Amino acid sequence: MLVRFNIALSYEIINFLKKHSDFFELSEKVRAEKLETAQIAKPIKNYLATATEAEFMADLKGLISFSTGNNNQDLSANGLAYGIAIFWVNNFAGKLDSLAVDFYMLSQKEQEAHAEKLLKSESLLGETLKEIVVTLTAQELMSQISEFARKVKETPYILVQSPREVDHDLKQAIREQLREEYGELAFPVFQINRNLIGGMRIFTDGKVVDNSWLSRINYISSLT
Amino acid sequence: MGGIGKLGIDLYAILIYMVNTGLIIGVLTYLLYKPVLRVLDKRKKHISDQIGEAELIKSEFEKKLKEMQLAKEEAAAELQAKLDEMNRYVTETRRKMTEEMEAEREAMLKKAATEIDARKESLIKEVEGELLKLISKIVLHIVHNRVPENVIEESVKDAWKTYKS
Repeated sequence: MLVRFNIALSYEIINFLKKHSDFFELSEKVRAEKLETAQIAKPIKNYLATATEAEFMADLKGLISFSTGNNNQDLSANGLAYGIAIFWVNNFAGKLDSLAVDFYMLSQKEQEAHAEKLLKSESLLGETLKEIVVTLTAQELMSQISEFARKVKETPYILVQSPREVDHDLKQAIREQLREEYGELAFPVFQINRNLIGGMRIFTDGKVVDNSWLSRINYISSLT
Repeated sequence: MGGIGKLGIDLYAILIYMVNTGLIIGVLTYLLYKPVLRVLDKRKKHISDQIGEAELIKSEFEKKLKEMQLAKEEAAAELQAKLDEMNRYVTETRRKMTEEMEAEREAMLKKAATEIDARKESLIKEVEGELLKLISKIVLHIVHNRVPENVIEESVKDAWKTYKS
């Protein structure tokens, strides 16, 4: 599903470049000014402001190759893909976390209304994002973002389990902390596990930090 | 000759008779008596030899008998000694075997006691484990269903603080 976003983004960028055919000949400062009007996410704007034409072409080619099904495409040196990953991990994750807890219980119309409020953009990118939010479950979306981010840069798979939905502020705090620990593209996937009863459990590439009530009860039970 | 002749005795005839008798005796002695005597002597000697031989055999036999008796006694003594030795060996072996069996019995009893203790211990642990599982289930059930939402939310925040520290 994220592939559709990549294609929409490519379309937006190409449209933008059509309007500014001398874009790559401009200085970084001028480029940044021109990009201000573009309806593209900030990390991608930052990338476009600094990339050379050759780099951009190579990165776009790589991204399109990946988006059209070539899963072996190496994205580790792809600046454009990195910008997209930063967008997902930093910018979009914040919006995703701010969705109401019962968002996925709502009817499709209600979900669309919520998505409309959350993502106000009318651009193709905005529409694609809305569609993604409504079509995928939070779990699917987070898994796909995590997978894409790890494709761009080797980062551990982080799973945060809690007995109830973690509130928006705490999610942001967790994301920031884990980004500090594991790199800019670290993207924790939040999962509800009611069996934990209380507390939290964090899996990082198979290693677990278990501060759940379940583990405490099990620990106390094992003391004989 | 007068009186004797009157009695009808002829001295001459007597003489002849006597000569005849003497001749007969001589002839008989020579032809019969002596061979008979010789035969008798021979026989006597033979018998005497036989008796001697029998005596010899008897004495030999007695000697042999004595030897055999002696040998028998020796064999009996030896047998007795062997029997005694065998008895001692059997007694000793029985004693050793009894001791070994006793030791083995003790060891088996100890082992059985240890196994029983271990089994008892394991049973106690099993029961304890089952009990703890049950308690866990009860606690989990209570905690799962009775803890207020705000307490759970706080617990998540606390867990995050713990992680950060």
